Amino acid sequence: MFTDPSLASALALSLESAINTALKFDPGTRAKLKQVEDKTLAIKCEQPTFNLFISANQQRISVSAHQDGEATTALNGSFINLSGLLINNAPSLAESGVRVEGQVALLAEYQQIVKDLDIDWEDALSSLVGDLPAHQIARLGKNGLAWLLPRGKLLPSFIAEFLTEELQALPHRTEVESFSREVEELRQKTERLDARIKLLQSQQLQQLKPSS
Amino acid sequence: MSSKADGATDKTTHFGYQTVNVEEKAERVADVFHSVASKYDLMNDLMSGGVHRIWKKFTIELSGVRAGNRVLDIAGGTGDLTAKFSRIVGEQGQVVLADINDSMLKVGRDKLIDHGIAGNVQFTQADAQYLPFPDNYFDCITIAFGLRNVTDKDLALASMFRVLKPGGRLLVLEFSKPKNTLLKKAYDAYSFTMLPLMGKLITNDADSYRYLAESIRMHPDQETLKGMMKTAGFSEAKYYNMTGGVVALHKGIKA
Repeated sequence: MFTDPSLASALALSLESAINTALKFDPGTRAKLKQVEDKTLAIKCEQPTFNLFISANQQRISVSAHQDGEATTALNGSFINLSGLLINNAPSLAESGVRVEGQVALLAEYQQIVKDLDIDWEDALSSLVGDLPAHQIARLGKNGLAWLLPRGKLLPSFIAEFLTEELQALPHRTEVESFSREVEELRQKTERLDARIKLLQSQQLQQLKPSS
Repeated sequence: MSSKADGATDKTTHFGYQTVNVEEKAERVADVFHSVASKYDLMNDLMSGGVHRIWKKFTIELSGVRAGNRVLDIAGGTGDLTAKFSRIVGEQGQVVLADINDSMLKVGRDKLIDHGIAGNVQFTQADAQYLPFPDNYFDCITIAFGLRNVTDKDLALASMFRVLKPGGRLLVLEFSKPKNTLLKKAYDAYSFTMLPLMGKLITNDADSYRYLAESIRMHPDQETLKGMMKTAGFSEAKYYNMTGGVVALHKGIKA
């Protein structure tokens, strides 16, 4: 994909800087990186073609675009499938469109590390705006999240109710199910009718044939 | 006194566009780096727009350096590559930051110590042409933006070949010749107007940055340097153009 080999390195450098900046505010996760030291996770993107090699060293994550030798574990797939895996945080690779080579245990270890991420955003903010404003912003953020998260979970059911009951723009689930059942019955009756017509036609043809 | 193809003779060489005595070049290059040492990192970021970090990242990636390796960073200056190598080689490995210029070496040493990078790093004031190390000693040698300032490049490459272990890699990161004519013109305009101007504003030294632009033009192009590496004994010599050939990374292996 990259005609200039340093472009892939630029991508790797950006990711590496972003990850290590975030890890600076999560000492717990940094300590856990010891588990995955000396092991390399390769992400081999096929469409578009580029590779990323992730490894841990001295409580830092290293991301490279070029590497000699075999990786401990390699994930192969298109960009869409690979990013889908990352976004959905799926527990299994089944039907993800991503192939895995090498030690699957390393994937589980990285997955656990990502799951346990606990970045201290207040600490990160304090270095930019000072301790007191950082605390206020973090408190507002936490309160906002505490308010938003349960509502976020309820939001889909609120929308569904509004569309079916208030606007009556969509049918209710029971109406759809009843309609589907009726369509299915109609389909079966039509098939039976079709079979009977064919039977009658074949009987009529037999009667019309001259007897030998 | 025999004549060289580029116009310099055995007793003269280039200092930018000027022809100077061989002895004089080392002194004048030293003066340039004494002058710019304190603002070297800032100027690198300004001049390249931060892209020098990507070029160096690519160099690290191609070095193939592993834990426990011994690495020599020639013309290591303010220690960008040494800092990365120090993390990779770990406690069992060793990185030697060598620079002929004591001002650059002091800035590099202070910067690394301030960043907590110590223990597996050694600092040596050394001339790339006469490296003070045993034969077959290093697993990898890098020289980033330093070779063009060396008076006798062939002698320096031979010296690097000597101290490299069999199977070891030499990586030469250096300004080179852009392939695209349009890019070349834009690059020339930028180098000869903006660089001295930035040098004047930031370090109050336009001449040093004029020398930078001139020395880049006098440096061998990609194919010539590849040939020089082969002559020095390196096998599998090849190069990677970056940013349209503004910079090239040459790689050679001691068989």
